[in-house]
Order: sequence, then structure tokens, then C-alpha cells
Amino acid sequence: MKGIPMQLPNLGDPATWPSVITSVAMIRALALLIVGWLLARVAGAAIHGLLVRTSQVSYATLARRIASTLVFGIAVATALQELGFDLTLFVGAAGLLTVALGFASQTSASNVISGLFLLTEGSIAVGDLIKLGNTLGHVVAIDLLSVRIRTRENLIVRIPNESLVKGEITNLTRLAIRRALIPLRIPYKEDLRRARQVLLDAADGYEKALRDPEPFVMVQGFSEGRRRRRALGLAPLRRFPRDEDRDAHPREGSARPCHGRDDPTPGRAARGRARREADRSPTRGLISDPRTPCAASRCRPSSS
Amino acid sequence: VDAPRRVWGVHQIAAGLRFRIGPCHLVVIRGEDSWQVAVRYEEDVLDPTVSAPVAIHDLPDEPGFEVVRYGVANGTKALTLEPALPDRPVVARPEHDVCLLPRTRGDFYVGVVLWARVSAGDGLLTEVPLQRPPLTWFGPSTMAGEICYASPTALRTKVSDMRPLPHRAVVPISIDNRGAESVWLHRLRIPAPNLMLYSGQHGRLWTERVTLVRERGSTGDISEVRIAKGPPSELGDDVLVAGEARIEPGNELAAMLGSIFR
Repeated sequence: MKGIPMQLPNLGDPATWPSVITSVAMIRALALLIVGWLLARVAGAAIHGLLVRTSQVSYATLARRIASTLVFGIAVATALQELGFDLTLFVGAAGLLTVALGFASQTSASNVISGLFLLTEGSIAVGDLIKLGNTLGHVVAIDLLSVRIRTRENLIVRIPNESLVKGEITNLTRLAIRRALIPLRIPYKEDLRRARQVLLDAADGYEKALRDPEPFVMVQGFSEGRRRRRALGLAPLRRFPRDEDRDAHPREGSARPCHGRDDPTPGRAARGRARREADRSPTRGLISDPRTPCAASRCRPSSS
Repeated sequence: VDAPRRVWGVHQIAAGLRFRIGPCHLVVIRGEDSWQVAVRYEEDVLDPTVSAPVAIHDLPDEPGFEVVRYGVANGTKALTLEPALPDRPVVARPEHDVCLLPRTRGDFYVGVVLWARVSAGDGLLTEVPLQRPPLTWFGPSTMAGEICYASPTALRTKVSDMRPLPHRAVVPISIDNRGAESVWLHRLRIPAPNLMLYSGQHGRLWTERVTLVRERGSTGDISEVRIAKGPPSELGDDVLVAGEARIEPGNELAAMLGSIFR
């Protein structure tokens, strides 16, 4: 039985095929990249979700980034292979590139290693209020190269990790309570014992100054000048919020608005102003305004 | 009916009600879809004034009131005012250090600040301390421990030494030293959120008796903390349950309060 001769389409010379193949390969490579990107997102989210329950947010964020980069890197490599690139060349070049980059990015490498130390040490975490030199702010991100801090002025300051490892960091919010030092000036003519009692009474009448550990008053030093003064520090140990820079960082001389230039007596107007400010504070209730020992109800004039 | 008992309970509110409980002025204004709660404190924390609710129409024109507005969906006219104990433990100190010799038992009383739980119908609006409670720290160091409220009174050996104030409750405490060594009492942590409130004569509020036991042979800390079921015997028969415990006492209580002395 004779079969009907089938006519095959003439595909022409295979040498003319590459353009078609290239188009298919490009589509495949593109699909691989999209799938890889999605997988990277999913893997990152899964690892973040897993770690965020058991460790710090910064660890989880870092792990998410590493996982996402790794998965997407594999996808890129596969896509390149699909396009016909020989990856062995890349591997060879990568060695040279690594050496070149190593020399060129010593600072970056140092920052990366410092970042790992910072994360391992756990001295700071996202959300903490830290002070480094003259910079004070909340940690908003801990990255491989730098730590970003939001200051009271709502500025983002980027601090290289190397500086953090080398420098002295003060974490103001790691412990639940801290002692607030409030420097005050007392004229020489005043009775020091009476001034001390007035300050302790002020702390006692201020419900947000912890009763234990007890507030104390100490003479910090004696200043020279036309009007010589004694300096006193009232130091109630108190709780402070994580999100209130103002409360958490009593500035030097912050109690001065309550006092005259040489007179340690809290003026009535200043006392009222301090109380109003404390009352307006969104943290009213548990959190105090450390500037206002003289906002306490029992703050009495120390001189008549 | 005694004045404190007139304050606590359900009140019908037309436009507004004003309460006075000790140093706390509490004003509740009812609106169409929102209620306002305003609070102001007198300077004198020992002020025993307590008055029946007074009907008012608007927020008082007095300085010092802190006002918060709450959205209320149901058009209820029932305002419920309940006493509650602090939401944190309370730390009390004796007037002077106390030493309990072996095989002795000491009974003490301490005052804790009350909260007023303000509800519109069934919906809780807020809880207001009737006196601004001072804070303190309780723990082995300033790095480990917890923030507590400081008791406004020292530990007393006689309840008659404590002024009956409408904004404070009495916590009876017993310390039973069955061990062979003396117990020094410097500070005491009272598990206020685990306690219930009972109303006694003249509306004075009490909690259950808290008993701290150091067992025979123990040389360390308190080995057991017991919260008696029911009102203390000092209240007699005329007793009402005035407030539920915030946290139900459970098995974990003993572990939680293991280091109650410092």
C-alpha cells in the first residue's frame, strides 16, 4: 500500500536558526528571572518570618536580604546559562575580580565585617535610642555597611559600621530604667542642706521619679566667676520611652528654664510652664518629663 | 448607704455626671456618639472627700482637667464605675526594718491606690487612678527586675493606724516564718493584679489576705505565696465583691512570686 507522500516544511538551513533560538532562549531566561525574583521574595519573607519571632529584627532583615540575593543570584546565573553564556569564564574572571574588588573596597569590607560584629554583639537593635559622639537618635536600620539613625530633627544619619565598632556607643533604651542627671546651680549664699531637701522633696512629689533606687543630690563642683555658684545634681531614676527623644535625653542645663540666672528658686510661672509641658506630653501617665523636677507639687522656694 | 458605695456601681447618665473620690475629680459627659472623660487631681493625696455623683451638663470650666473623648456606638445611658486594683505589682516598705524570728508569724496591712474603671454600658472606656501612683523598681539589680507602683503607705501592724480613704484599698498580709532562721523584711512585692476587692463596713475596700510562708528547713527566700479565697476575717459578715482580679491566680503564682523579699 502506497502511502501518501507527506510534504515536510522546508525549514531551510539550520544556520539561519539562531535568531529563532535566541528569541526562545531570551523568553526562557526572562521567565527564569521572573520566577527567580518571585522565589527570592518568597524565600526572604519566609526566613524573615521565621527569624523575627526568635531573634532581633535586624538579624531577620539581614537574613532576608542574604536569602533573597542568593536565590536571585542563582536565577540570574541560570538565565545567563540559558542564553548561552559560558559561566566557567565568569568563575575564572570572578577570582580576578574578587582580588581587584578586595583592594578597591577595603573600607566596605571593613564595614561589612563590623556590621556582622555589631549584629553578633547585640549592643544595638532597631528601635533603640543611641548616642554616638554628638549624634543622638533612634536606630531605624542596621545594614551590612552602615547603621541609619533618625535624629530628633527627623534627619536620617548614616553611620558606617566601622565607626560604630571603633567608637563608643551609648544605648539609652536598652535597660528599662536609667538615672537622669539634672544639673542645677545654687548660689553660695543659699543653705546647701536646705537646697538639698527642697530638691529631694521635689523628686518625692514627682510620681514618675522612681522611689527606689532613691533620688540623690550631690555637689558636682564649684564654679568660678563674678557670682560663684555651687552645682547640684538631682538624679531620680526613672523610666523613659523608646520613642520620645525629648524625654529620654534630658539636656545639660535642661532645668534652667525653671530658674533664674542665679536664683535656684523655681519661679511660679516657670513651674506652671513646666507642668503644662509635662501634662501635654503624649507619654503622660507612666512617662515623665525629666526636665521638670520643679513641676512637682511640693517644690518649695529655697529662699525667701 | 455609705458614700463610697454610692459612687461605685451603675449610674444613669443624662448629660453628664461629676464624681469626687478622694483627691480625684472625675467627670463623664455623655454625647450622641461619643463620651468625654475628664480627670483632675487635688494636691492633697490624703483628702478623704467622697461625694455622690452630681448631674452636670458640660465639662467644668476649671483648669487642670485632662479630657479624653471616646467614641461610643450604642446610645446607652448606663455609666458603670467599678473599683479596680493596680495593673502592676505594688512594692511596700515597713516604716522600719522588720525582723521575724524563727517560728513566728507577723500580720501587716498596707494601702494600695485604687483605679476607677469607667464603662459605657458594657464597653470599657478607661481606667483612671484615683491618685497619681508613684513608680518604683523591684529587682535584684537595676538591670533585672520590673517597674512597680510604690505603695502610698508603709506596712502597718494595725489597721487602725491607716486612715480610711476612699481611693485606697487595704491589703492584709501575713508572713509566716516556719524556718530556723530569722527573716528580715525590707521590701515587699504585693501581687495586686492577682487580688480581688471586697467592700466592707462604711464602704472601705479590702483584698484577700496574702500569706507568705517560709517553710521549715528553708534558709532562703519565701517558699510559698498563698492568696486566701474570700474576704479577710477583718471585714466581718457585711461583705460585697467589689472588683474582680485582673489575673486569675494560678499555679505559676508561686514561681512568679518566688523572690518576693528584697
